[in-house]
Amino acid sequence: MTGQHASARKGNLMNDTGLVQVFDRREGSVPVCEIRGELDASNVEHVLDRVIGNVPSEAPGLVLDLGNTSYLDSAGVRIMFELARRLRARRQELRITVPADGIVRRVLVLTALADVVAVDEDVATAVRALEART
Amino acid sequence: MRENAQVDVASIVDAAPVLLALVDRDGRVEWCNREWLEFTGWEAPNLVAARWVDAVVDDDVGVLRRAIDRARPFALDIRMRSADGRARWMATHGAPRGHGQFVFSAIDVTASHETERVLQLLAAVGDALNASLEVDEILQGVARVLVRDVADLCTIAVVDDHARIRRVAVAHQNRATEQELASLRGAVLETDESSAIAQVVRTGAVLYRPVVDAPGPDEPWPGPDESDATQGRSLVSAPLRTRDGIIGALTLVSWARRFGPDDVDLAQEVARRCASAVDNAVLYRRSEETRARLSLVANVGEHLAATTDLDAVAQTLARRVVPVLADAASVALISDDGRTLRRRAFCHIDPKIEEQFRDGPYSMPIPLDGTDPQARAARSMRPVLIEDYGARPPRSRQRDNAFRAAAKLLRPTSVLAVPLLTDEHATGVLTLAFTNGPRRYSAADLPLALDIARRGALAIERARAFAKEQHIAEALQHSMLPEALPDVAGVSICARYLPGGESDVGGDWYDVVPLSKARFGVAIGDVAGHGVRAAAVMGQLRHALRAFASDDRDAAAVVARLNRFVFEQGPLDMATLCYGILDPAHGRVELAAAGHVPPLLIDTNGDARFVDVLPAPPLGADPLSRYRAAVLDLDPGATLLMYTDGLVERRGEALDAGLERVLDAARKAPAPLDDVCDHLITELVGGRHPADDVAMLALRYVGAARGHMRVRRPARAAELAPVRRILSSWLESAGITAEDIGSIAVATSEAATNAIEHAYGPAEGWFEVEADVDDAHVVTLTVRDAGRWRPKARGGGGRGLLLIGRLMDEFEVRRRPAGTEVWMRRAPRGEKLFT
Repeated sequence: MTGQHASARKGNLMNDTGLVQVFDRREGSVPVCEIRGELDASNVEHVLDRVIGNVPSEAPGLVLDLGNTSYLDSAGVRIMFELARRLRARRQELRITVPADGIVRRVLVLTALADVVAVDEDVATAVRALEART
Repeated sequence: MRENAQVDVASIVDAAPVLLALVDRDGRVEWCNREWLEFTGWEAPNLVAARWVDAVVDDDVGVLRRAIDRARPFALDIRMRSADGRARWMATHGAPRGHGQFVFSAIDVTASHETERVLQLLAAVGDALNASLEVDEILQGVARVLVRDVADLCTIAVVDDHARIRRVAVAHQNRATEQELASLRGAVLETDESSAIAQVVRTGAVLYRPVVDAPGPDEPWPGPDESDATQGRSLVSAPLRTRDGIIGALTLVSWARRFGPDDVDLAQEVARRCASAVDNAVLYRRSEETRARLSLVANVGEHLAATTDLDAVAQTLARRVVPVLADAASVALISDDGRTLRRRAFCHIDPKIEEQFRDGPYSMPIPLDGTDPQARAARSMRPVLIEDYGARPPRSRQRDNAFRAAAKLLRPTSVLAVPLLTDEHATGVLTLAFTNGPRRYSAADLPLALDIARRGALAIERARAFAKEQHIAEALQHSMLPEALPDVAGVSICARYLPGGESDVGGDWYDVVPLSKARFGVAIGDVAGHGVRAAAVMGQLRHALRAFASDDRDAAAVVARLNRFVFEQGPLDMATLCYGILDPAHGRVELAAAGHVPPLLIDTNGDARFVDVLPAPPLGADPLSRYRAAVLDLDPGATLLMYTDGLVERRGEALDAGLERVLDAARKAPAPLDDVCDHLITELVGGRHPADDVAMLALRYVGAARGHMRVRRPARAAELAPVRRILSSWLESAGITAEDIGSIAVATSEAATNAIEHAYGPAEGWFEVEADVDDAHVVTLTVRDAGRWRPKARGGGGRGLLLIGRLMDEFEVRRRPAGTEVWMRRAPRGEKLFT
């Protein structure tokens, strides 16, 4: 169902080292932001700016898709806390999707981000959860 | 004897065409014949009072008297004064008769004597004319001959290349007076209507004034005595005429006698001969000059063609035109800001002045908006010709210090500034100056000067393009050689690059590319040719290799793919390549070569041999070339040396001899890897600049990856990912599981992030990661920096340490005087994450 709603709004951002790429898309009314590659201290600020700037105020929230994120550490975790805080201030919800196993999931759990932000195993579940809010 | 016979003799004597007289020692004339009376105009009744000395020219009286006094027969050529007062040359004979009496006879030989005198004079003139090839010198010689016999004063003027009449010779009967007049030689004459010489030159007609009293058109020459030189002189001026017209005038002045028609003829004859000699000398000089100028142009062209350096081009240009075309020459180029001309070369025939000029005006910028001829030439893009520099109207040039200083030192007499034009703009100016002698520039010099300037401008343009290309090529090459080589666990790598040729840029390159499974691609290559093109091709090959290498092909397949790539690109130059896939975990390298010199293996004992790589054609030779790889197992401590042929090749030497030398040098190399490279370069290239560029890539297998590794990087966030990659591939090769590697990478990166974010102020430092793996796959890490962690700006640092603590079995932050260390350890768990 959601695949049909994939919107044309797609872009990418590469930082200086080509370490990370950010892709935006819409699933129905829900913006989905996919982060591919490695997120570390060298690029988190760019990524935060990029992600927050593409969430429309009328959207129920944002799905941050880390399915193709190969590396994440406390620097990335910090911007996710920040992202969640800012969206909450706009009465929007951040949902993160990440596979059940792997180092990224482990980092999210160990840093207690998973306690603050809803973590789903796939994008469809997260989108449905956000669509339910409206 | 009979009475009547005596009468007959007297009448015969009277009828003879010979002057006869009976004279005595006291000067009396006892008797003379009719011929004598007619010649001298004497009256017979006065004969008693007559003295023979009255009939003889004063100058010749002495010689005649001495002959008579000797009382012996004599024969003398003397001058006697005829009835009209003119001196006549007489062939005389004397026969003594006793009692001091002489029978004296004389025949008028003036005609033949004149002819002979003229012939002698012309012979002397001829000698003078042949004495030299210098026009001024030969004409002065001729003038000297003429004042010996014919005139009191002689001047000769010639028309120079600039149509001015110049007095080149002044001779005076009195040598002292001539000395005084020497300064008048070389002067340019007024050419207005009143000038006799100008008139002669203009009309080509002889000017003959038997007597002139009026102050003449000529200067008031000093006469023979104190009297007014303009008074009572006689003057002849004859044109110097050649096929091409009147080229001057020869002028005779006499105060002692009046010139007659013979003198006019003589003046004309001498003038004709002078004209011919001047013509020849001028022709000769012109042909010499033409020859010199033609060879100058050829010379300049030849030398410029061999020069690619801007300063050398300017030097060549200035040096070559002196002295043929100038006494002094300079080349000035327009500065980058387009406001001034700056001299790049200067040459003067006098080295001392050249030196003074270099110390002084040389480096003074010449404002382009100034009055300096150079500035005007550059501005107008047209030559500026100042034929007679001294005669220039004075200009206000107070602002132009450079101009003033240069003019003051050089004292030019004539200046020609020619713009150096490229396409549609002036790039600079070639300035020629005469500072000595009569040479002046004229419009006739422009074609040659412009030709040389054109060649110069082209050479300058070429030199600039060359410098630019060289710069681009260097930049290109620099950007294409790896800035830093990756850290390969278990392998030390060392690379060298030496630019070759005349600091030209070649197409040698090398690269080390991380591949999957902790392997690395190592490549070295040589693109045919030099300069930007070679550097660009090299760049293409390097990028293509990186792409193909990461596709997990074997070495031979990568080389074959690269060969096809070369053909896909269209006509590319040929290139050689040696490519290897290095597997540090197993100490193995797989090598394939395309027309490249064989790599060298130095084993742990220091012995060296060439690696047996299967020979195959270079890239770009044949799209269907087949390549095969050789596999080489490296013992710990063994060194693989890849290089380009610049290290081997020497002109005129077989490749084998070069390879033998490499082998020799390698066997004698010291142990440390850096020293191996340096030793080979010193031994094989030496102090000399290599003809071709040289690249070298040395790999030393230090042992199985299991064990120890260390990597130090600048404290920059951008270094985090590369260090994670190096660490991960090393851990992988050390047999650590992917799950463990993920945790270790995060923990290490956290520690390194702390070092980068908190250890240093604005000044950049470094961080270092050291790792050990033991036989039980326990990984111990130390992340080190040289700073002191500052209070945390954000909460991130705490979260980082939290993560380290959760991901590792043990960890410890050690603050030391030298810096901060995070020590951590993790035993293999293999646990499923998040279970």
